[in-house]
Amino acid sequence: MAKAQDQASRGTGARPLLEVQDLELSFRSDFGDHRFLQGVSFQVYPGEIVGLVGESGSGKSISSLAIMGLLAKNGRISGGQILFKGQDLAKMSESDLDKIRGRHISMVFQDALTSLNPVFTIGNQMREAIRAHRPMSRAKANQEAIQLLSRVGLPRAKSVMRQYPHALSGGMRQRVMIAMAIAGEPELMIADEPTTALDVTVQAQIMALIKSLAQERGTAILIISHDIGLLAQMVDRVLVMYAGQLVEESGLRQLFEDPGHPYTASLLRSVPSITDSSDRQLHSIPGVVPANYAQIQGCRFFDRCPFALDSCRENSQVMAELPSGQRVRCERAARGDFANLAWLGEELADPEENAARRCDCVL
Amino acid sequence: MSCKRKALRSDQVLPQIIKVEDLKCYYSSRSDDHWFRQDVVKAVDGVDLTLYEGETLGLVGESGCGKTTLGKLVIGLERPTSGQVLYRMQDLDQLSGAEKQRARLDLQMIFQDPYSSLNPRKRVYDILSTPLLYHELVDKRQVDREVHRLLDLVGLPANSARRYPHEFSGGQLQRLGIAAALSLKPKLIVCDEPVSALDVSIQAQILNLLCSLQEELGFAYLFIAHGLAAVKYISDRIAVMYLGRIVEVAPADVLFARPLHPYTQALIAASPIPHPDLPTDESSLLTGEVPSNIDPPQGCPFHPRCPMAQESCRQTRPELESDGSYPQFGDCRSYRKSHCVACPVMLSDWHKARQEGRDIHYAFPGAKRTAPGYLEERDEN
Repeated sequence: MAKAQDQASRGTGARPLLEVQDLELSFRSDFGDHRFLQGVSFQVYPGEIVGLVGESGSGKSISSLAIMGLLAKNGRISGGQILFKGQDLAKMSESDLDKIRGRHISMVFQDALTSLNPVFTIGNQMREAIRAHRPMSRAKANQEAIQLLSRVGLPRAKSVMRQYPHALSGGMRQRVMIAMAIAGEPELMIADEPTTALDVTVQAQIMALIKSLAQERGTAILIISHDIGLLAQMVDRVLVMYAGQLVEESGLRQLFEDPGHPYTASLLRSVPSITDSSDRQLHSIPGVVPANYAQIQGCRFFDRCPFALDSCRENSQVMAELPSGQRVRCERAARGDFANLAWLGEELADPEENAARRCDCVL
Repeated sequence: MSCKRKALRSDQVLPQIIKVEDLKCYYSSRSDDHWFRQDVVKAVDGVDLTLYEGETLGLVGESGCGKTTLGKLVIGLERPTSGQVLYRMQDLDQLSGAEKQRARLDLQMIFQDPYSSLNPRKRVYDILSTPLLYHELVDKRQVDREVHRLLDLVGLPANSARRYPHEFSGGQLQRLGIAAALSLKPKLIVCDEPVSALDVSIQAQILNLLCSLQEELGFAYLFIAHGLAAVKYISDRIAVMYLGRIVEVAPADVLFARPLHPYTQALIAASPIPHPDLPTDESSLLTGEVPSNIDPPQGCPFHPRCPMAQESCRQTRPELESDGSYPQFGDCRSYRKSHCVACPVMLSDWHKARQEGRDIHYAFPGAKRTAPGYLEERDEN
């Protein structure tokens, strides 16, 4: 069902807006080249909201920076393609990229305070963002900026234009960032943990804003977060990253009802929720993400996985499509070894029910 | 095994460990508008709160509402402007030097940022052993064993003792912070956002560790956080704070089943729930931002943002009152399990609702999502 939904949201036969194929990054250091990602492939269709979830260090932010061509000097795209409307961004020159960045793809960064320039007023930075892509007079840009700021829900937009970033609260700064991101009327907006530093009430306001902008303008959104609960509120499809690899891709409902990869299931079970009953025991994934995971031959989740077999350590895992339409990087899942991982690690007061649920996980 | 202890669910009367009465803590800061003027920041502005032995009290609120200041006041890291903090019925501020020393042993804190709360130039061994030796809690020959016992308790390998803080990951550092707090065998640990800097999977590890340590050693927690889900998971009771005041206190499950204060409802309505069927209701979110605590609004501090505000809310500042679920205990502050709220409007609505057998009024309908049986009811309609 989730697959049908996905396809409906993509429209019939729509071509993907963004297509990342086998993305691989490498970073030069004194100790040689370090490879970061491996086999990251996904698509974003027009008007769709896609979530990218993973722990810190899993490679989610670096993937988005690679898409924007914003890698640090010692980093480069060493393999794969990033196709935006058929053009390969990975091979494009800086000046060509400038025509796409901000105009067709824009980005909202995690920390709005460090992303805004502290020595220029908001108005100054807004006008710059607008005129970079749409040549117009200063006065017109001013009007446009005020309109954009009002659109993102800033009260007294005119006075905000004269203020410096430090005078605004965290939530207001993030709204300014979003206003800049939509200034070029992009087809795709990448939001990298847009609400991490904000309070829950402000977080909810910002998420509602991003969602309504997407609906209103038909902008596709790739939203990056470590909080799977936050994504559950708004995305159509979820991509799960672990240790530099994409390990699962599935529709939102499917992800929650029948996660394919043991890591996804563990992650879901380790998130507390305000709807939990008071006798719930949180599942915690033992251990930590392996340090030099690029050298691991087999499954990178091997030593933390409750279902690992000896073969998992040796066989390098590939993305496989399940009958349900999910794509999962796990050989056991691909063989159909798991019945339903949704109850993984769940401990209930009733031992009998516990046993029954445990049996449900593995066939 | 669950996080909540059975003894705390029963009606048993527990001894109080901390009692806070009309506590105020004001800071002065230079005014933004006039260089010669001093503004008074009312960080904590009249708080009454009781903590019982062995329980976990969650403290939630937006940033800047005074939760951290209250936490520091409770363990004597900050001196109150007025009011008192009673530790086992003794005023912390009035204690003599030696007595204060004793009390400080019993009151410990775990800090938010594990990266900056441990001395980077000291080895773990020194960080953990210095307080033990200073307070003469263990014999010099026993220190090694004690340090290893502490490391083992928080699930770190024994060889960590020789390492420096930078060699650890965030989750491991937070374990060290916990070990440091535990080393003096405290009676109360104030946890100031201990998991908000950590990844989700590590968060679960730390929360479970805190639970099992409490089970084993029996101390009380004051658990400060802004994320409701973690607070609900770990707490027996929850206090909600807004602009330096406590606006609602209730046992954890009662607070979510029947949030009475409109601000509590707003917090619940805004919290994302990891469930695709329970999206946040975008039409009824709390708007605006927290007013400044330099010049807080007259009357109820929440009235400018409250959809239910009436004329009376602008005039008088509401006090915490019991919802009357336990009439045999009289005043709300004298019974652990009573549900207290500083909102006369909602309180009278609840009394009416109870008589008429209807649901309470929700200022923010999104808060209904945590009411028992909400999903089933919604599906039926």
